[in-house]
Amino acid sequence: MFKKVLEELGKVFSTREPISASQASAAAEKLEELKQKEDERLEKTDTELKTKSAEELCELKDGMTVEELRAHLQNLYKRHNRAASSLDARRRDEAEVMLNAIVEVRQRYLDKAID
Amino acid sequence: MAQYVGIDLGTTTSGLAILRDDGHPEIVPNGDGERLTPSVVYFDRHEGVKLVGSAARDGGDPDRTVHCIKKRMDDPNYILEFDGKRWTPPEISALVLSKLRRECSKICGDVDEVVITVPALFNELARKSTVAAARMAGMKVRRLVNEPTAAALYYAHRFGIMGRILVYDLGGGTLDVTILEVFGEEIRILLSEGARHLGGSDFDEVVLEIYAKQFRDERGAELYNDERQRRRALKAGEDAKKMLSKLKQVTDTIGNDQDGIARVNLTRELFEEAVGRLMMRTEMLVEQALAGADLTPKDVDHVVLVGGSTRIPRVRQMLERVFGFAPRSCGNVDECVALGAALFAKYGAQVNEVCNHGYGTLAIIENVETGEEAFQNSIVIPKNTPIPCAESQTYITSEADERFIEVEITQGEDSDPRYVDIVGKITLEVPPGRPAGCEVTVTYSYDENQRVRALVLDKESGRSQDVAISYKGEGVLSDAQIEDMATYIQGLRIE
Repeated sequence: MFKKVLEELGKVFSTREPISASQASAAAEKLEELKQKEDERLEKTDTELKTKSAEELCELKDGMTVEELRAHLQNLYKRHNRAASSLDARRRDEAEVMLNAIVEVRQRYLDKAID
Repeated sequence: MAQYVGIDLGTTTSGLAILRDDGHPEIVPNGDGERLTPSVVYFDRHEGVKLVGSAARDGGDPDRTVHCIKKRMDDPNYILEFDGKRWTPPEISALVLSKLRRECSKICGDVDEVVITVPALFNELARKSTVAAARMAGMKVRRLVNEPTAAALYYAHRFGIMGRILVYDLGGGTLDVTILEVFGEEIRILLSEGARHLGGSDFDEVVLEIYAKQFRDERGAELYNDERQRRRALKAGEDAKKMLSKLKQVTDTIGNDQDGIARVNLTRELFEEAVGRLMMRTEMLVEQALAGADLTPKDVDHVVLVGGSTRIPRVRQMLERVFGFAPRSCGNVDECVALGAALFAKYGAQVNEVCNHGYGTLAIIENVETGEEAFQNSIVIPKNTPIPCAESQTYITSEADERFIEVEITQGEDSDPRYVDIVGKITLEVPPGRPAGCEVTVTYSYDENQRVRALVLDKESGRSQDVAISYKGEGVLSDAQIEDMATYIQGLRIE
């Protein structure tokens, strides 16, 4: 597993002491842990996608301004549009539902009429 | 022999164009006299012939007919079986390419080397599959070029347009939006974005749903009960969609053998409302492209239309609303990609392209200022970097006594590792007894055909390993399999 240290200006080598063995093994387990969590999440996703509203799927927050909402939806769209081409079929399925939810929220709240 | 040949291997139709001696590109019709060949293949059971094109689309057992195989070119596990033989997406695409090559060569001469176009969003596997399909059809691929890039070259050639151009390419199966700059004879791509399952065939499915509902309401039964009936109804929907580009209302009768026929009515307003969400997705892709290039609509000089689906009036209205001026159409919007590909065969060196995907690796990123650590996708080559290119990133190992350095190669632009694909892995053996914190450099290089190689170098030991990204799956063919299949296909009867 790689550890990369970032500073403001970009790629700089770390001057920290090497991390301890316990930290290293915890870091090395992160990928497997993430994969397992993601597998579990995608297994549940099909049910959640059917039961959650478009607003819930898009994780809208109370008090969002129009511009915040627009930016939030654009970020979501970018993520899930890319995911629609994922090699993982479950993620592609999730992406299709999310893209529809994003559009639904946009049409409902931003009310951008198409001529 | 035809010297400069371009092929648009499309989701719903494909075309072949050559560059004439006068420097203008021209579509070469197929043996059926059609300028565009439907990308449909029928596997006949009785005579062993493979029908490609209109004959495949319009007749035959729908269970033995393959449509839109291009949508599967990036699926490593997609296999179809006919008469005990398994077919992968590139092999089926090779049949389409074979028909084009065999029949068009009777008019323009032998076709040995071609430029083939692909959607901007096609990943590494889909591009490799396209090159493999061409090889199996007996052609060498001079270059792969993105469809919007080819179309832009055609527009620049035909209309002499210069400046900053947004290409809106809405074809049968995908939407590509590319922003580029044309100055004199040079074309510089700034950015490409794409969306799958967003094309004319998806609009056809929407019309099919409308028809199915109207039939159900009138006849109390389902419009189709098998694939043949569904295909017929889908074709009727497609025809209605096309007519609605010219008329405000279409009336038709539709039905099946069991439940009779019903009168269906489709207005342009109803159609546009039904496809409204799909249209909004296209608008959001345009916004994403502008944002990615750090541009506003005012910064774009021209918007050009590519793909038959841009004939839908709502497309033009949307783009005019966004940009404040009408988009430009060359008229033959279905053909401009193939025509542009033929131009690219000669003038491709003047086109400066960009990476279609970002590539990176998984790492724990630590913020030195806050001390926070996050497990992230660390991008080495950002998307839209001009190509060819090579970029490196240096990391330190996180474990002591590592014997193997493992680098996961990711494809995608998201920093969240859940939303990128792991497309490869390099395992580099290193000497024992090393502490954590050893420097490892990961270098990715991107060639002009959008192919990626990865190199991992361990600074301490000097050991390195490099790989070309490869995919595993039932549908992924080895070089030997491609050669065998090329021999097999070239012996087939393809009509």
